[in-house]
Amino acid sequence: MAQLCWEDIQEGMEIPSLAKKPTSVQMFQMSGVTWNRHRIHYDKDWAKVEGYDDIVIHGPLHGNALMELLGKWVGVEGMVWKFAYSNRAFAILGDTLTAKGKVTRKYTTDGKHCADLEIWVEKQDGAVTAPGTATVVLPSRG
Amino acid sequence: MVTQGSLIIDEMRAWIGRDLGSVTSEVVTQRDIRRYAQAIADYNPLYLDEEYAKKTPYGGIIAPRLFFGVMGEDPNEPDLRPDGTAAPEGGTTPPMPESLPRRMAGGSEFEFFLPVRPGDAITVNRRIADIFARQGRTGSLVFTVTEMTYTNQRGEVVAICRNTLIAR
Repeated sequence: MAQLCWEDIQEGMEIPSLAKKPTSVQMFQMSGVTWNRHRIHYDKDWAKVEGYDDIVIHGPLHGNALMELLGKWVGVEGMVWKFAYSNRAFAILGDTLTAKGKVTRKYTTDGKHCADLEIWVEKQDGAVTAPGTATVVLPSRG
Repeated sequence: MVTQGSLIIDEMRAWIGRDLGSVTSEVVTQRDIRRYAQAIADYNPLYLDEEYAKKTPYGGIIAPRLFFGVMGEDPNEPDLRPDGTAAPEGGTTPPMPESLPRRMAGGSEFEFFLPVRPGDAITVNRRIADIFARQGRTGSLVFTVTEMTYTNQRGEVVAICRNTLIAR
């Protein structure tokens, strides 16, 4: 994919969305690599006791879906400078998380060519699981 | 800072700005980065392929930016709650009003400066950045913002993260 430049973007544009569907193996890996022992992420019986129909997708997986969305959009010469998100609704094994974004501001600051975005993760039923914002720095053709 | 009558009392206010100390990680390896990339199912060759990464402006493999998630507490299993979660270490959270017993994660904000590379050792310093109250739809809320500053072995700031915890 061609490297995105600041001149290519417009305020109001939506960026290409990204769908993630975590598997149970992936969720095991996430628990392992973060050493998160919270049973709701790997123990289906325990998840049911806590009221979930299946194991719960880790909060940071929603955040990482947003970062991957932005990383793919800005390319190897762009950079995610600021990033904020919160986990508002849970998702479970079998759910599809789609990360989406929209450019809200295009500007320069301190010699950097920037864009602010509104970003969010939706489940397959449209419910927003993780709203957020980001500021990216892009290369400029000059 | 907005206060709700006597909700933010002096005992809590005294925590604002409190330094909770620093912890330094073991050296980050290529394997740590690969496994984190696998855990988030992001197979960007920047995280996995040194030959590819060398040809990019980064000059070599870097970790995904949220890699700091691996730097958590890891108490022994007997010290975990039955659900597998770890209780916060004593002395690291300000007291909250007893009328607000529930806790909710309120979100994270990051500012990224430098990437994390294999061979880095990352130090995280935690401090209580702010405590404030708001009136929510269902009642009073108290917000505690913890700021984490991540530096590498050269003393360079790699990232700053602010996490908000809500008491309700």
